[in-house]
Amino acid sequence: MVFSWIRRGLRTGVLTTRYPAVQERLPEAFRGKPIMDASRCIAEQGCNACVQVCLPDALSLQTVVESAGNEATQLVLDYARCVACGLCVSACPQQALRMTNEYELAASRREDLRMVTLFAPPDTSDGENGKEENNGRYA
Amino acid sequence: MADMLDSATREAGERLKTKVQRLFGHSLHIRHVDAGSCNACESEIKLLLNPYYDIQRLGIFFTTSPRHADLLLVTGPVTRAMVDPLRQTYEAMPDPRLVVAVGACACSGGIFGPSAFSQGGVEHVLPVDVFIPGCPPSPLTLIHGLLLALGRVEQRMQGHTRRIKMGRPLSVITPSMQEKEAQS
Repeated sequence: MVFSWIRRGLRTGVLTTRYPAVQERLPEAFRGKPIMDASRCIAEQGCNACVQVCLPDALSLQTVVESAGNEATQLVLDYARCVACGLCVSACPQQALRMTNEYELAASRREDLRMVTLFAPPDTSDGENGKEENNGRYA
Repeated sequence: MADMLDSATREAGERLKTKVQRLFGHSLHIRHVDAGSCNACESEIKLLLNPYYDIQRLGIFFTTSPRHADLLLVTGPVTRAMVDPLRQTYEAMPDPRLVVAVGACACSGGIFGPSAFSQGGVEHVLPVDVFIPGCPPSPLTLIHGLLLALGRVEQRMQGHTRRIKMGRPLSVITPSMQEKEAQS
């Protein structure tokens, strides 16, 4: 019996992942970190489909007051609240949100887990396209 | 203290430090506390010990006593009943000690949020060093978070899991720890 165990073990080989030394590839369908393509988002036009559908309030639209009554909208994606359910991805009419299979999410500061996309106010259009973004990276 | 030493002693101290770190390779003992979790995080933490993830190959072990632990792994939005046991566990741990919040609940309160019966995250009770988000976080995310707490994330660049020169000493990795403890 013992010999059959040893034979089976030798036949199976090493199963253990080599993760910290070698990056592990997860399947495409793995729901890891959701990212946002800010150039597609239409939040400044009043869309809040993803915010409506988000169960743990990970996505939120906030109004930040910049200088002298200049109000801008920002879409905050809080990875510390996100449960990676993917409802926002199916709710987005512009396909701006996307699930990735990225899994290295840990951060040593709470602020590092917030992805902020700032939309400039629409009335101050002086040639610029009016979007500051940090596309898919942590804010 | 460091100013009083002459340069030769300080150099020897640095050399000893790097040698000790290379020999011991930042091993770690973890005490896990369930502070109102739904047990999804526990099931993922348990997976760390299976032959596939095998976290003991990295020198990371689970211990049953906080007095033997270096790192406190907290899951769940700290419920009212668990505030005192969690604090007592933290106080029973020897210095230097790290706190890691695992899961969306421990990081921010998650779907429970702050309420009369939930503190809404570990950071309202203890100084947290690393947040591991996810509901539940995958075992690979947990390994990444634990290595981040140890300052061993750069181990990936090397391609060996053993025999690696450590980049940073443990005190530099969590500079916020002393500040956080001074505040609380």
